[in-house]
Amino acid sequence: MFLSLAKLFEAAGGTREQVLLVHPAQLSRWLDEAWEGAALVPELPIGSTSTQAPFLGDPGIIGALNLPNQRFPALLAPSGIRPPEADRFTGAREQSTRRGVGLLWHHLIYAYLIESTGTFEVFAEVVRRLVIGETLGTLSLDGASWLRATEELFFRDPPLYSIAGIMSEARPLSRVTRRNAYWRMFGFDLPHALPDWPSGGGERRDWKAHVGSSANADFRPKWTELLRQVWLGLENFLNTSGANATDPSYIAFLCESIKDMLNNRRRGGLLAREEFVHVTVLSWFHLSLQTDTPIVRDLKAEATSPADRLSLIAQRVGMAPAARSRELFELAEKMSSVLRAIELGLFDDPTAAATLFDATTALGGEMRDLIDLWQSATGERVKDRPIGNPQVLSAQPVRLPSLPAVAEAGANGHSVR
Amino acid sequence: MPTQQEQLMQQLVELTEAVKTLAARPGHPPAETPQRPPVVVDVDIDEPAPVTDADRVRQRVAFSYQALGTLTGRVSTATGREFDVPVVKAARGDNTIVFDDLPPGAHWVELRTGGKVESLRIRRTPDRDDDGDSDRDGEGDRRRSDAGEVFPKLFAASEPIGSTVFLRTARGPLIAFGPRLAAFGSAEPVEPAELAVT
Repeated sequence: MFLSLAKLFEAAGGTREQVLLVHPAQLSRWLDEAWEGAALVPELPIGSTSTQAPFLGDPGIIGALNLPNQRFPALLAPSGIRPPEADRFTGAREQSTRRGVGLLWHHLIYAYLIESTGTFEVFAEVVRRLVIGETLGTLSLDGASWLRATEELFFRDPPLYSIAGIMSEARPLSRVTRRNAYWRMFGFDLPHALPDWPSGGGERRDWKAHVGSSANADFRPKWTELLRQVWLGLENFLNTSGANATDPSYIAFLCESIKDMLNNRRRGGLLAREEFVHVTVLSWFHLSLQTDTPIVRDLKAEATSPADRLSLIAQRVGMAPAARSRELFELAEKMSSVLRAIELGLFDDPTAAATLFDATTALGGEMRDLIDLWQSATGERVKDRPIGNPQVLSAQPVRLPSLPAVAEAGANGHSVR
Repeated sequence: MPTQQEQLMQQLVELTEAVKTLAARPGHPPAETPQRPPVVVDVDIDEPAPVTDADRVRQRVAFSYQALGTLTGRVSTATGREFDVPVVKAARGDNTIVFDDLPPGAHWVELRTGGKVESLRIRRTPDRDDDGDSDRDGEGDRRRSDAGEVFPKLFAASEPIGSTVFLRTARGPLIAFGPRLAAFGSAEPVEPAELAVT
């Protein structure tokens, strides 16, 4: 969400990093306004199907969790944010959350990919060292503002009745809550282990078991297959003669399968609030690394990319980020957009699915980048095909159910002969 | 030996001519119904009008993807504006919808709620002289040339509208999008504190 606010600051003539200087009380209230503003997001003009905010699972979840419309005197004050002024309190709500087309947060995959770089743990250590000693030196005034906001917003209990308040006795560790959401939605766990602090008792050990069977374990194979098929389409996009293994119908089928899988986890608005909060947390740290922000300068980590800045900051606190941080940072927004589009049903028919490998559109270009980055980040050889086989195969792999399990054992447990 | 840029320009000119020829073909339905003014196929080098149904579908998908990027606050690449899709302000009256910040070339609007769709030609609001009203929001000068209105027939004032999309011609291309519109009279009141500031 903070990336959206940064864009509003930039559009109003300010700079993106000014968001990091806004008072944490205002930012906290703005998050509640932004949550409410999601109800303004319009349907997308993709055809005759309704696309009423399915990213929420149930559009009613906004109102269900939201404070009713306040009358004077208000129970809670508005954020008072008015871009591009970071140090002003207007006494009114930030306008984009009240009128216009609203704000939409990134897909949960964005939070997963950014957290996979190690960003959260590196900054957690930075904050810890800055508040308990002087091993990292002193901060500028802007750096001190960043530190105060970061500690208040993400390393303590959120304010009562805030939309960001997803920590409680029932789920005391924010780190585990995020892993829980990633596991349920994608069947992915983070590549690094949980740190030793803070302690979390049983939740720390058993969180996967508590999820039960409601994890989308099939997400990764389907996603990789989709990338493989889109790559075939991109390779053959300009073909005017000869064999063309592109199969838009199969691509549409894969998109629909992924859509159904993800929407299953969102039934009744499940995970909507958690996604909002997790994306918000990680977008703060992503924004802190996008440019040479005050905290980056104070830590003497000026560089030309978020991955390089993170690497330099990690060195200051004796840590190392993920080896493929650059790819993960680059992937985050692209993969988020594509998964959002898939969940909205943008590619549910073969004609629409063909846009994924239309190299002349922004979407086609993003898919090409996404395939490159995914292959590089994960090591999965999406572009490779079997060599030495001149026969042109169908794009759709054939996987028939195997029989041996049935044939080998009879009703009494003995082999059938 | 033509340079690569000259070759590209030549291809663009050929594409433009091809699209114009297709648009002028007698097979196209005549736009002579009394409700609709003639369809003008306005060819844009950057964004040619779609010529087939499949083109139209793909253009909608590509546009929706870009609009999605705009909504999530994505930043365009240094060489493009792919995630800066123009956003039009809209407000609902009793039997009218008024628009502000209309981009150049936005002549049609498509109102949509689920499968219910209505396409309307936008009536641009005539230029006005500066008066007391023009200073509202400090945007008086800008309001004069980019405002417009439509009078929906299919959508009653009591019906919410899920999306507003702006097109160059009735058939495309899509060039901007607007907000979800609540039923007339159902919008939330402005907070007292907000009135004091704005």
